[in-house]
Amino acid sequence: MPKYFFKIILLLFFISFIFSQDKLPTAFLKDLDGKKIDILDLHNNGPMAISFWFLACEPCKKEMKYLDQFNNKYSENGFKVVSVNTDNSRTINRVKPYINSKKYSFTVLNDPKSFFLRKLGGKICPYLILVDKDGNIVSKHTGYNPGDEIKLEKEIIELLVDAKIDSTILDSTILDSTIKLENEKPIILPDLIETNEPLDEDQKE
Amino acid sequence: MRRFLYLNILITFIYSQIDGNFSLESKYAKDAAATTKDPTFFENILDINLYIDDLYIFSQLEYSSPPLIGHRKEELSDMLNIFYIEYFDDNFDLTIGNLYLLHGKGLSLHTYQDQNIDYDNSIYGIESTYHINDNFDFFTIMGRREIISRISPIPEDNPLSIDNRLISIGTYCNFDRVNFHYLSMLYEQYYQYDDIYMMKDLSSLLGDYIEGILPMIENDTPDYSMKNIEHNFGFNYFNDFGDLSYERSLIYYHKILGERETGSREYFSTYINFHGINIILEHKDYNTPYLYSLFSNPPIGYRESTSILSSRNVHTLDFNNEFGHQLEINKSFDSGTTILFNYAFAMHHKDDNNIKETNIYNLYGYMKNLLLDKNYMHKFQNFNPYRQLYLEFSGWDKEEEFYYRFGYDYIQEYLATYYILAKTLPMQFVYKLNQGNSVNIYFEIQDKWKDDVKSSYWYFSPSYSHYGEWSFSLFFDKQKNADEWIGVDYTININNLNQLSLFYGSQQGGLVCANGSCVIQPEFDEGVKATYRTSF
Repeated sequence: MPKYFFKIILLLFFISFIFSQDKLPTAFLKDLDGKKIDILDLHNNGPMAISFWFLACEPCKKEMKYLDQFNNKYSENGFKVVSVNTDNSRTINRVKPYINSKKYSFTVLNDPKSFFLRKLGGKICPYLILVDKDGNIVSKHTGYNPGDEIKLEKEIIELLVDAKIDSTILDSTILDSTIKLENEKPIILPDLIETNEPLDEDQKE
Repeated sequence: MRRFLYLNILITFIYSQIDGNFSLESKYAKDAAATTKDPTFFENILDINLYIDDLYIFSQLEYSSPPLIGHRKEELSDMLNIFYIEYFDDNFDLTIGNLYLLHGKGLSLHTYQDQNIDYDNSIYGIESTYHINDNFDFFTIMGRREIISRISPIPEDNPLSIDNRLISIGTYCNFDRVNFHYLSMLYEQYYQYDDIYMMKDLSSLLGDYIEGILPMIENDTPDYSMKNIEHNFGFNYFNDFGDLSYERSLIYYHKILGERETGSREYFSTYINFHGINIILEHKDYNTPYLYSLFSNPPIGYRESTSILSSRNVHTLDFNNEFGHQLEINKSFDSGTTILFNYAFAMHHKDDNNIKETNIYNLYGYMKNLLLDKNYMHKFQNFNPYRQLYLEFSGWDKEEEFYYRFGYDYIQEYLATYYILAKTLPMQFVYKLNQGNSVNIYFEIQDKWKDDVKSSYWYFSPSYSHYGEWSFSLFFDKQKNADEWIGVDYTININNLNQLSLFYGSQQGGLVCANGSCVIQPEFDEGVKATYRTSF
């Protein structure tokens, strides 16, 4: 009997190559005031990070601090963070007070039945996906350890560069932004934008 | 079942406009008592998401030989856990299949799946929602299912199996600062005699009642069905300074093989922000003591623990018989420091004319309760009182390289057969190194009294995370002058879509935090565990 189950998995794995790139699906979620919002309306042709969390998840709360920083830093360049809470009716009433206490800048939506988490292939939280400007899901992350935000920020900047945003309207924070890692070559964005070339292998990682 | 699977796969070839994704979670464990061919558990869960224009199809397949909890699923006919189709457009939503429902705060209707405890109270049926305009929705639900429900924590014990048929209608009204909902549901429950007999082991008024009537029915061994009606109403009000929520359910049901009863469930919460200080107050009163409710999953009214040791003394909410409150006060400062105070208190209704039930004044006697007077709880022990106090102080240093969290958790509870008091000091420290690496340390100390027998526990778990690519954790869990549980865990993110975790050693059951996430794990003796997650 296990052979049927694993044959199905193998078959679906090969079928997945037939599908077009994983697209952000439509979903209607409520914000903290009960207003219904279509996630695709929030996408707005810019790269987006969607992060799933719940109140008893301490790693999730640590990650949200950096997501707030990224939302503030890159929002003028079209990037947006959407935070999706998965607490169900048992604890959902404490979500809004928690968010208000932290004064986060990003949009927070409720997914109390974890339907949207399930639609995006998530199993545990924290779970974060990155979506490019065309609505394609380009990256998925499970779990968070302090320090992971450095790799995440690099991915966000790559998305912004790949979006081929007009350099004349780029915010100065992006133009001056470098990510320096000890003993690694720093990534300097103005060089990339002027030459319009993709990142070199040693610049990517 | 086989035809369904092949049809599902065939559709994907025929219709190229289908989008989809799949995710798989596989868990394997072999402890000292198990063999490779007959492991401790081998559980595989595959989620299939398919999108065709406005249509969405979800399937969940499971192969478990055996699972962590529950019965084996080795036959093809058993593998389909969940299946539903959703259609939605601007005016109309339709769901057919397993219905996962949440209306209001769930006082009457909340169905969901929790794989950790092998729980799924969904029904098979149809849910339709008509969006009359931007302010009004109207919904109908119709379904049926034999719902499995565990009353014993021992996995080998047989669960209850109760057949349910349900019809419900309702409406939602949404405006700028206020929304209302109303639902009415009629459901029939069918109990076989074996299920009635097992219910005598419930440590509740219902269990006492069943034990009382069994001598009168054990010769006839009758089955029983009852028709129940519930009316549920609620509203939420929002403004710039806070929120107000209220919900109430009226329930008309029968005692099993007995007379008609009227019950109620009530929930109230308010939140205000006063000069940056957040104050949240919740009140709950769930009073259907002779009903074995399968669809009600309301707010718990206490804090879910984030501490590893405290999570082992978690209060078990009796959804049919509990009333109490929760008060939380927190404030975050600009420096990043957060202070939190949380207090929760609850007890059961008692059906005994000789015992005077507590009144609202006693229930909200904060000053008396806050003195942590053991005798105060002892006065109400016949009502199975529960009390929890939690204080926390957390934040980052100025350079945002060092994180600290200090807590104090105090839990006191009178259960049916024993008394628990636990005092826990949970601590967490994080130090961020260069290049995206970090060190994370959990350190907790607990003193626990079960009746008058004291036990002391220590928990220490350091872990190192390397640039989001892999992490390594040690677990040291010890009961003073008694057992100890030691383990190591290595997790590698093979790429953005694949994660593999390997564990060796022993583990106490409860909350385990490692690899950047916290999950509930079962108890595990000396052995090896592997978890693989992938999405494609």
